[in-house]
Formats: sequence, C-alpha cells, structure tokens
Amino acid sequence: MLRKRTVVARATSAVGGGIAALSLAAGVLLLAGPIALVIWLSFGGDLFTVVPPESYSLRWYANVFKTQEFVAAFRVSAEIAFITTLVSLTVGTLAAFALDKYALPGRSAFQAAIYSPISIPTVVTGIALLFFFSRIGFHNSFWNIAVGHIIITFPYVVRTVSVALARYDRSLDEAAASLGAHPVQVFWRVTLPVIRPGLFAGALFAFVLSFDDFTVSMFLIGTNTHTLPVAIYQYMEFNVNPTVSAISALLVLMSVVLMLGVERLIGLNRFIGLRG
Amino acid sequence: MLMLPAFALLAFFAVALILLFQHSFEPFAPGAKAAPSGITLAHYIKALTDGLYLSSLWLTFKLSFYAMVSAVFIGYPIAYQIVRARTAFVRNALIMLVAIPFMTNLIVRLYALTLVMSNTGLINTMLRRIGFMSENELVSMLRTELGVAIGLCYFVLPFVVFTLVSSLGLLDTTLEEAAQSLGADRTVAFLKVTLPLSIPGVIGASMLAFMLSVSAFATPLVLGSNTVPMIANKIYDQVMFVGNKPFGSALAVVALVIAVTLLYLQARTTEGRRDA
Repeated sequence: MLRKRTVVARATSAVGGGIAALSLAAGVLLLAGPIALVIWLSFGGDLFTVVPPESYSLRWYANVFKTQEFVAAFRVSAEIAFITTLVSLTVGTLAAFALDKYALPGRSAFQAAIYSPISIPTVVTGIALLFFFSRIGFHNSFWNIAVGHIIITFPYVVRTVSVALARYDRSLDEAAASLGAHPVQVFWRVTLPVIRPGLFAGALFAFVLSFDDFTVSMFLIGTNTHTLPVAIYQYMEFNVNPTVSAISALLVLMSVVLMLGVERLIGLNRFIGLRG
Repeated sequence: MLMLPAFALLAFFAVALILLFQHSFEPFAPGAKAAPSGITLAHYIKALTDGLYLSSLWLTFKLSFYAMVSAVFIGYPIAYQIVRARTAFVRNALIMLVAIPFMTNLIVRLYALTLVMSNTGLINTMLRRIGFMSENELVSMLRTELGVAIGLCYFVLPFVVFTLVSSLGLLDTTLEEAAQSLGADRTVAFLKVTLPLSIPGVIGASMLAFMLSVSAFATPLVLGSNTVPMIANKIYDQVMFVGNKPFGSALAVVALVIAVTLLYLQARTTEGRRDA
C-alpha cells in the first residue's frame, strides 16, 4: 500500500516536473528566440535575409543611417516622445496630487474617468482623434500624434505617482512646515525627492509608450510626418534586405540600456511590482 | 485646480468619442460634399448581421482565447521562477528576459517573429536541415490563424508574467513549506497549495491577456496581412481604405462596447475577490 503510493507520487512528481520544465523552456525560447535571431541576422552580408547568412558584414547598419525615412522618422518619434513625457508627467503628477490630497466627493468616479483612456482600444482612440482633428480642421500630424500620445500615456503617470504618494508619510510635510518651510519648499525639497521613483516610472512609461506606439500613429500620420514604428512597417512591406534587422537590433539595444537605467533608478523588483 | 489639465484632456477625448458615436449613425453617402443628414441604424445592423464581420468577430474571440490560454500556461512557470528564484542573479536575469521584449517596439518584435515563421525563416530552414521534411515542403505560418495566435501569445506574454508575478509574490511561501514538511513532495505541494491560492492572479492575468488580444491591431496586420483580419483591422480598412467612415465608426463602437464589457467583468471579478 505504502509502496504503491510512493510510486504514484514519484510518477506525479516526474510528470509535473517535466511539464513545468517544458513550458519554462518554451517561454524562454519564445521570449529570447526571435530577438536573438533578429540580432544574428542583422549582421548578414547578403542582399536578402537568409537563414543562416552566407556572409557577414555591417553594411545594413550603415544602410540604416543612409535611409532617409528612418533618420527623419526617428527624429519625429524622439521629439514626440519627449514632448509627451514632459506634458504627461506634469498633467499626471498634478492629477495624482489632487486625488491624493483632497477627499473629493465621487473620487472613484474621477479615478475611473482618468484611467478610461487606457481601457479604450487604441484603434478606437485613433479613429476618434482622426475624425475630431479633421472636423476642427487641424491637420498638423506632428501635433495630432503628440496630443494622441499624451491622452494615452498620462493615466500611467497618474497611476505610478499615486502609488508613490499612497506610501508617502504625510507627517514629513508637517515636520517640514513646523520647521518653517513654505509649502512650495516642502513640495520641492521634501515630497518630490521621496516620490521620485514614482515619477521615474511614470516618465519611463510615457516615453516608451509614445516612442513605440503604432496604432494611434497609423491613423494620424501625414504624408511627410511618419513615426519610427510606422516607417519600419512601411519599409518591411516593400523590402526584404536585412536593414530592418539592423534597426531592430539597435532598438533592442535601446531597451537594454533603458532597463539597465531602470535597475539603477527604480530597481527591477519595484519595476515589476514584487516589492512596494 | 490641480485636476484642470487632466480634465481638459479628458474633455477633449470625450468630445472626440461623441463625434465617433455621432458618425456611426450617419447614412453613408460616398462623394457627397456635405455630411448627409438623418440618422440610421443600418451600419449597426450590417456590423452585427453581415457574415463577413461576424466571422471577423468570431475569429477575434477565438484567437484571443488561444493566446490567453497559451500565454498563461507558458507565463506561469516563468512568473513562479521569478518569485521563487534562489539568487538575485537568477531573478534579475529572468526579469530582464521578460522586460527587454516588453520594452522593445512591438513592430520590431513582430518583424523578428516573421523571420522565425516565414517560408524561408528559421523554423522551415531548421526542419529541412535536420531532414524532417524535403526541400520543397514547407510549414506555412505567416498569414495563417496559427501564426497570428502565436503572435498574440508573444505580444501578451510579458503582461501575463508581470501580472502573475505581482500576485504570486503576495502568497505566503510558508504554506508550501508546511505542506512539504508534512510529507507532500514539491509537485503535490504546488498542486494542492500554491496553485489554488494563485487562481485569482491567474484569472486577472487571463482577462488582461484576452482584453489586449481582442483589440490587437499590429499583430494581425504584420503576421496575418489581409488573410487573418481581426476586428481592429476591419475598422482600419473601412476608415482608411474603403472610406466608409460611418460604417467604420459603427464597428469601432462595437469594439468599444466589447472592451468596456470585458473591463466591467474584470472589475466584477476583482471585487468579488476582495469580498471573499
């Protein structure tokens, strides 16, 4: 009886361990595989993308910087992401302070309203903004896209700053005030440094979501204003050479640098919410 | 006062959505100078009865379901290993493995996936090299439902892992240790203690995966071209190529209603969890 149970338990254990190991391997392969492949193929020297490359060179990296649409689109995307980050950080932080400080009537309704742009499918956001801008006759694609990105990113700033404020000890404010600090001084010298990780996280989300946005941009691009993801998409529709692999490898490198920055400034555990 | 900028943005967005709603009731008059007057429900009737759009809706739900199940199945072991990692090095390496794709441009990641799945891509080349199939055989994955489902799984996987990490991180590890000290082996302790306790987190991650997949636009566009059109692609085509703004608007309103319903269900399930 006891022996039979042990055998069954061992079998379950082996099968369970096997399934866990297999699906872990599948996950690691799915997450790392495509990115590793694109980096490898970006060094291919052939005219077309072939697996495995028959020769190796850096010519496609050179081609990225020679391709005018990529250079121009990178500039547009970087400028829009920068503006979006600044505006979303300001608007979002102010709203988070208001939500935190005042027990407004119907506070949960305000919160729901503020988070609503995140819950709406980006296609719907894109089409609604397209109709709105064409109705009011405002056809500057650059600013149309920037406004779209601010709308879809500021709620993330509200969220990250709210989390930081919820942990913030209000008695610090009182202590500073009792020592004679002006409310503005209290804000800049006491509150702000303490909630800095929340601000960093919010700014990071705003920047990355704006820089990576494809859907909203697809509705609002103009003939001369393309963002980088749209330019990459259009290039890969008509070309089969490894230039897109090279620009992809460069963008992966950018993510790696960003994540190393995150580790330094916020910490990986806090980034993924393991620890408050 | 502090809320004003956020309110201005929300009001702006609300007007755009109302305009979209209004468009969806307008009769379609191609080539007309002025917007035609009168209201009609024809677009909604077409959206909800025409087989072309019903099949697209069905496809959207089906592929989202596949993506949800596979992403939770693959994501759970990764999340578990992140939470239970014995050394900080292993934990950080696993977090980076998930975070780098998460921070990388989606178009770039989808391009990388086309290199894996195309007819001359990694999988087909490898299958031929190891002699699994002959030179003129191939496994088609791009422009198939399977390929798009894999893409959706790849797209939502980081979100699933991070959601599961934050819920698994809250579980008390001593319960599992207690079960083991009472004689249960690791598999049994996991199946009988940890897994049941983590069900709310699994539900949360599943709903997020499903919601993200249902409104996916870039993934079916890049991996499915026109052969696997999900609902977001149908909306885009109606507005940008066919030029039928009212019908595109009605489809967008349908997508919005679906998204809001899912969000409501999600809020209901998390609420129930809090009461329990």
